[in-house]
Amino acid sequence: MESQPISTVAPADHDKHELTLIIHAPRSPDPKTFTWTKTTKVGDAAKEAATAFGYAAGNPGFQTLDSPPRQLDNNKPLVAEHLKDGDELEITDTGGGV
Amino acid sequence: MVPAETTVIIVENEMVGAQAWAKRRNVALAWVPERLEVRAVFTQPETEEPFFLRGWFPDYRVLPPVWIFTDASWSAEPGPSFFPRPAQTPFGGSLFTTGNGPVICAPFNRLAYAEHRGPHGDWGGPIGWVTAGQAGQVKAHCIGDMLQVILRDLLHTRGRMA
Repeated sequence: MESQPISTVAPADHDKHELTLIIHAPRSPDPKTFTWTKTTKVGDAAKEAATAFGYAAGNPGFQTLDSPPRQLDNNKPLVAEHLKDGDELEITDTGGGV
Repeated sequence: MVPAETTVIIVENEMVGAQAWAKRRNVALAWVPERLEVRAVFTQPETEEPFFLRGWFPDYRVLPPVWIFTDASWSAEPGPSFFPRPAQTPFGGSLFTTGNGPVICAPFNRLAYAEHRGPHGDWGGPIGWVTAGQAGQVKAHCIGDMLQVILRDLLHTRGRMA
């Protein structure tokens, strides 16, 4: 009986459970790459990234690099923000004016 | 309080990240060390008009910078015609307010403090700028982060204060 070939095709994005994103911070010349599960909340991912860049306080969130940028909702999971592997985001503080 | 040559070293160290940010955001950004000034040109999407943001950094980081909007020659005193008209943002109230004059109202701006004619006598003075403000209010402790949140709110404005 002939064996079935093993597929070497990577799973489509929608089949993966993780997202790999490139994160920039306004204080750093170099980005960092993070992999999160798609169900990770944007705010939790932003806090983890902010900590890695040395932010010790504040209310971190993510913006896209579009012009004008799109602000991601800290309360939504990453998957709900229609991100794909390799997308680049910028850390921004989401605190209000005073 | 802080020797100018020390301030230059501190600012130039932070400008490395800020310049990378400016390139990503298509912002013209310059550092003028002999004047201890950072200059950035922002474009308001609604009007496509330029806004000239100037930061003055004597005694930085003991004290926060002095941030204003000025004219294209970088020399005018802050006036309402140089400031964007504030609008509600997804983050809450705008950073751009009027009190004794137009001001970028954030703990990282020396002019936001009552000691410098700003509206805030409740922040313990500019020497405590890194911890000033309530939870949920804007925080920015490096030049790139300050520029980012000022641009963040400017993108929601429409027109000028006057």
